[in-house]
Amino acid sequence: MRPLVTIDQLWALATTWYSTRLQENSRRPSPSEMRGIFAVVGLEGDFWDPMSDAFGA
Amino acid sequence: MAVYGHFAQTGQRPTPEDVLRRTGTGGVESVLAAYQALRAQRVLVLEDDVAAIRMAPPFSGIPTQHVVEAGGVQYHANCAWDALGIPAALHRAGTVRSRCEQSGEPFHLRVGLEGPDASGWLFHCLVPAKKWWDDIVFT
Repeated sequence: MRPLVTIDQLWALATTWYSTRLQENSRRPSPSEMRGIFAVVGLEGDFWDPMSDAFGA
Repeated sequence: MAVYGHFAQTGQRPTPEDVLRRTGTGGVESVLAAYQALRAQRVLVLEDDVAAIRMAPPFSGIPTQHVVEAGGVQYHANCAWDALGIPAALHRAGTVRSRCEQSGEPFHLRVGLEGPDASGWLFHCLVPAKKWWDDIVFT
């Protein structure tokens, strides 16, 4: 399955990643947080898993 | 904060001297040291000279095809995700102009404070999540 993302999903990712980026002590989500974020948005599977070894170490 | 504040206000990447003017403390060496710390946190991507900022996601330090206008300022984003990330970071409505990499069709999307207009466009992610930072510029 091609890893396609709808505009609504992309907006959810954009706000989760960046809505606090201009604030002090802002940071990227950790890999485990990313897993949860992608799952909530409906993006699941090895492709979206930042800790998966399915595509090589 | 100084780096991101500069991007937000101007749409352009700051030089180390610009950052120094905003922080008002230390020297250029301290700015470059801070760049390294931010790079390690993956919130800054530097050019090979380690002094020029290539990316401060969602902002691009160089012109790209993903152009965002918000509040009378023009910004460049690193990718489609970041193009929506700029209005999200600024908490401002804006417009995104880009193109489909497959067909070349122009892309124009209005983004309000609550999100973008309804759209059938799709974002095709080429690189699996674990590999994104192997080459974040390509990703």
